[in-house]
Amino acid sequence: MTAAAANPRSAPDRAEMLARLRGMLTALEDGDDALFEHGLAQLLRPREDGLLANVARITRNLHRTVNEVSCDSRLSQYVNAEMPDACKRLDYVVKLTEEAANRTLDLVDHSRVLARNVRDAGDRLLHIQDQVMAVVPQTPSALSLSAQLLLLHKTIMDNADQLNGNLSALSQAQEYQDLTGQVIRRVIRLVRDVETALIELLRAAGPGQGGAVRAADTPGLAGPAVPGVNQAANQSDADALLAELGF
Amino acid sequence: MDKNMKILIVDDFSTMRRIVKNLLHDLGYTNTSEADDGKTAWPMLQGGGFEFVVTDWNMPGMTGIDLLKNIRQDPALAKLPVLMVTAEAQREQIIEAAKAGVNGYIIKPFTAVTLKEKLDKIFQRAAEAA
Repeated sequence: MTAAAANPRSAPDRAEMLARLRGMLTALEDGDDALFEHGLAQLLRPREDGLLANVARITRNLHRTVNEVSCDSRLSQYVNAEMPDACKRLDYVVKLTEEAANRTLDLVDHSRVLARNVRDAGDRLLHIQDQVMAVVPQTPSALSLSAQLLLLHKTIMDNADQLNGNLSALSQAQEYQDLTGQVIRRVIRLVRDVETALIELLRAAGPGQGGAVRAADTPGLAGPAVPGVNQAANQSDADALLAELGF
Repeated sequence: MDKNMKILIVDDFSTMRRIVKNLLHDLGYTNTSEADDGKTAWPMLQGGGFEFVVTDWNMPGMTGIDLLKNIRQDPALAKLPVLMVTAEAQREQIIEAAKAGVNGYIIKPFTAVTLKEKLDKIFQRAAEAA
């Protein structure tokens, strides 16, 4: 329509347009509103007709495409089998990783108790060494054994502490399960939305069925940042932002 | 800081609740309870006794941001410190949490050092305000 307006008008078109506009001007001056409105309507009709023709063409195209799509058996295969199957597989991944993470955390909890026992045993060793040295004569060999016991105590304590540190790191490392779980749940939701939209599309294309394709729900939250997929703040960005806000 | 303070950990992933609990234990805070979303947490908080809340944002039932807003609107709980530990890392979200009155914001994945740093900062501010 804008393209048509940019085209130069032919001489007869121009003469007809001038005649109409003059007629409308006269009607306006004479206070003949009805005649003016009639002129205005006639002036605009070709444009409205063009718009309606375009809408009708788009609608026909859409309808034809939808019909072609629904005739394609692959689509109903996706909707009826492959998409629910994909969701089940992803649910299974979430379940397995959650079980694995919990199993790891159970073992971490148990190992922490063991590490504490080792430390307690080390403390008792030191105590017993003290008591023994109080009752035996301080011969060179007794002093040498005592020194070895002190060294052993130190080794036990150092190792128990390192073990505790490793267990903390092991526990912390299970954080992946929450993040991957959240990401997978979002993908499951997306697949389900697409599935719903496709079912409605198939229904709309079916004989005698109305209805429109529902747009997928857009979740309000962005979820975990995935490198290369979405832009997100890291902890120092967040700290800087909060500092700006007076935190 | 009183290491025996009662802390509520709110997260829909049991793994994350356990990890936060373990980290808090490592830091000496052993008096922790858990809730799997805001809806479960709310009656627990109203029951009283909690002195600190660590919450996730994105949870079914009641989200962490709604829990935070409820806490700030409740005269008995309004001053309760709330630390948000979440995967939500968009600028708008951080600002929204700040406006809702969060005391600290940690983005997952996080480290024990970050947790300690934020806890210390919150307690330091609380001490200054007192």
